Amino acid sequence: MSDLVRATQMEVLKLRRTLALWASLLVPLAVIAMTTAMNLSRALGTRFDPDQPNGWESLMLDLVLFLWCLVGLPPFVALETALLAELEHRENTWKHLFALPIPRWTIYVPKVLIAFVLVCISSLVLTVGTGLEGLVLLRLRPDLGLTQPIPWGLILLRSFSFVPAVLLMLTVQTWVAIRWRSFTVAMGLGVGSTIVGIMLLRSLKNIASTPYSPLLASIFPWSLPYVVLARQATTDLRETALLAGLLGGVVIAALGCWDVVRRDVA
Amino acid sequence: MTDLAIETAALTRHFGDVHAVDDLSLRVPRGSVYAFLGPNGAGKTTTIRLLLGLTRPDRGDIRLFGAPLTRPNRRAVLRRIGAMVEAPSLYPHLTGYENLQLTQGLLALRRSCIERGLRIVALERDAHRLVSTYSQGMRQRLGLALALLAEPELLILDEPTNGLDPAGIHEMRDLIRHFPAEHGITVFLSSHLLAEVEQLASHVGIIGRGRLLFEGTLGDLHSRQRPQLIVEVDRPSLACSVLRQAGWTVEQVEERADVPTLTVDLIERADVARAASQLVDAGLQLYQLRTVRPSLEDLFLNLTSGANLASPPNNVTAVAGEEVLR
Repeated sequence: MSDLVRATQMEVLKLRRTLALWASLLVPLAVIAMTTAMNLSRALGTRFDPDQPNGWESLMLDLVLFLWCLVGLPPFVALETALLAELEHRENTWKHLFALPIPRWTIYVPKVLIAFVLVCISSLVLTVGTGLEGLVLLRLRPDLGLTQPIPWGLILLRSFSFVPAVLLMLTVQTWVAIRWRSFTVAMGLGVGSTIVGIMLLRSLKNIASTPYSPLLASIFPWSLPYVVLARQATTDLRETALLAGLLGGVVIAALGCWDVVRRDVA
Repeated sequence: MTDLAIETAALTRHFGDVHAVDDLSLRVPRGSVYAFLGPNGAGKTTTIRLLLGLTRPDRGDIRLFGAPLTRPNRRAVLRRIGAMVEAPSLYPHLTGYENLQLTQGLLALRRSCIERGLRIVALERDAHRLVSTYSQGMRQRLGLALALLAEPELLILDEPTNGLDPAGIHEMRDLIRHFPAEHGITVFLSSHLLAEVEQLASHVGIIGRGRLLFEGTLGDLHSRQRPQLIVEVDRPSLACSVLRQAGWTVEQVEERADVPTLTVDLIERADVARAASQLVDAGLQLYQLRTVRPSLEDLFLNLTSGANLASPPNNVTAVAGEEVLR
């Protein structure tokens, strides 16, 4: 265990002066900036949710997290995992690491852990960013229906509720990013799968006409976080998505680790 | 306790149809600077990867300090080794110090190991600069410090002077030369240039197309430098048959030169007089007789040349400074 702790600490040290750390702050902030701009330009008199007195839930689910989980998070995970792997691919530091007298799995597992921590950081940034966005809207667009005080607990809960479901996507991307040196392969997988995920998620609105797509969406790694949050999804689908993300992530992490550590190091 | 730092037996690794390492049996004595030589693509890097457990052999055994390199004792064995495989493995966005700190942290070493490593390679002043600003020579030295960090008993260096300018090569050579005496470290280093390691190696192993062609001390290699007799005559073809009938090996006949010459392998000094008398008795006009001793580089090139590798004469391979029949 101490080997893993040390390896993870060293993985944190490697993040110094890297884009990977900045991306976990900047990418969610970009989504916040975009939704703030969208809200400020709404027609006067439109409320977030006319049926509910509190507009925060709607701001979170229908806008910030909708955008984040649908088009922000999958490419973000692909980018972060590719950047973490690139740290070793760039100068082929794998050969140094694998020649050290440390358990080989402690080279792989910290990559997964750090990528997961970066996703958690992005969720924290989303929490703070949503609160700040609300403050701006309260001052400049009180007609939108946000109420005081800011429900930090609710925002935090929503921002982290889908995080366990990210694990499957994250472990698949980590394995691909480590296994193939090319940055394009990992990013291509992330972006391509985001598009497939969007197509699958469209079916959540028409469950009757496309009965299999919602189920596919609840097991397709890149659409799981959205399914966990989607108002249209049934409780069963949400639970399936959460379980698939969590358990699938653990399984893929184990398989990826097994595959990487048994390979010859080129 | 074994006197060998590295011992391999019938080590073999193929990549498809390519025999990268073929039946390789190395014996690297403790306290030596062992130069592992061969042309590009001879199998040096693959051998080093096998020694470090980065690549698994198809068959054969590896023993490091007498202990077999197997999965259960991989960590115990690797703990005694420092290595730099090909280019140094560095993180350019970190400082030199931070690069060392990464390995120090992973291996739970004392912080003082970092200062010691930097001192040995004389990088103390530049330790807190980003590696991306380092020259090639500084990067090589930092790579060496990384390999030395855990105070290894065996240092494995793959072409450590690659990409260095003459001053850098000189610096690196000076550093390596002192490791056995000053730090008690056995050095195993690969190179494709014999001249580059001639001044610092005590032992030499020569590999070609994955097979060991020679292994022994530098003295053993020198002793293989048999003198040759260069003969200039009017009719070289006749001279060739006369000398061959008398039992000498005539290596080459150069008819194209202005003055045709023959190269004859000498066994002893008296051969010169005997060859001269045979040629004169055969009615040949003798223009010049002189003896030459091939350089180590010639010997190396001869050993690793394609012809030599394709079909070793009489299935003879030079190992341990002697010719061994297989």
